[in-house]
Amino acid sequence: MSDTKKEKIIGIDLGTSNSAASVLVGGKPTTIPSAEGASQYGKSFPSYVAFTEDGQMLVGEPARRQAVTNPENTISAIKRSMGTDHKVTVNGKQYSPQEISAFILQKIKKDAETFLGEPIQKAVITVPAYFDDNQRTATKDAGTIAGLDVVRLVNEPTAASLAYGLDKAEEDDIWNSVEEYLK
Amino acid sequence: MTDENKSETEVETQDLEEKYEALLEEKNQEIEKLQKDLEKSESETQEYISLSQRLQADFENFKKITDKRNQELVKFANENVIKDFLDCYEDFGRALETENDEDLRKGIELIYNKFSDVLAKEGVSEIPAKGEKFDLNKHEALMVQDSPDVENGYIIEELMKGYMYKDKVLKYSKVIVCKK
Repeated sequence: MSDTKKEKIIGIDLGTSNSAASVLVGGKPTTIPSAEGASQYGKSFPSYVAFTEDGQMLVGEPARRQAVTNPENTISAIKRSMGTDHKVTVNGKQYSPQEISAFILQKIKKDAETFLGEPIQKAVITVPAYFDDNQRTATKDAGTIAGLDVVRLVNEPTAASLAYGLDKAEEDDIWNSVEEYLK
Repeated sequence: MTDENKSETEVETQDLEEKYEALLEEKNQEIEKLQKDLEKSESETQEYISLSQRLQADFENFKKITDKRNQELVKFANENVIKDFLDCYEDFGRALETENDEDLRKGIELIYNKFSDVLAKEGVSEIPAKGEKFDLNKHEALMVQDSPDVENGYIIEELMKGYMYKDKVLKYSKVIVCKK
């Protein structure tokens, strides 16, 4: 039976300000809780990455809490630089936007593994519909750096329409509606 | 065709017929066996399907029961705290009946202390902030300022208090941190 057990694939919203991930548990999409706490108004966490003086790396809420004391080494809204040659220099080390995003994805992967109690390899990441090839490739690369196999990039509006249909229709109908949407 | 030849052909035909009969019998038996196997597999499959359906139903029921129990737990978990709060609430009511401002102030002070005791009893404690070193696990920096009396990285002022609930941060304190 264990061979036929379906491997879990997590869905990631890698946002400019906040990020979140969810997974189907018993057929229902469940948001994966962030280990360090969520943003004020929901279950997502801020897309912040920071490096402290003592060389510690912070992702999410802790990074945001110390942002004003350490603005040089705190990175936010890295999504805006995805797919560009822009580099972030922190403590004399250069990071590409993919690498910074990978830190956020790594945290999500860890949270998901803690939540589900099993290793996670595969993920679907949403991207804005206007993302070009470079930006999409960069997002996929970020996933690879984080140790995730990005099985698909889904346009954010498509993800929204999918989520709308999830509890409303049979699976086939959802795909029909998505195909309809993509036409 | 001679009689001898004819009888030979008859014998041959008979042999063939017998062989054919035997083969037919064998194949029939094989078909019967396969049919039985198929029936067995089908009934087994049906059994597994109904088993999985029953397990799914059991799981759904278990989930419902657990959810209900959790809801009950959550619903009444605050009972004791609310009882303590009610005492304070009643005290406020009594305090408001006083007409003398001095007495009212004294009364409110007493209630404030009582309230603090209730919170402390429940495991809620204030997070020390002013004069402490900024700790991102307890504080949230809202601003940075330079101050001659405070060391770099230490808290100059607390803008909003923070609280711990047992070993968990309930609310991070919002602070101004010194940065030279």
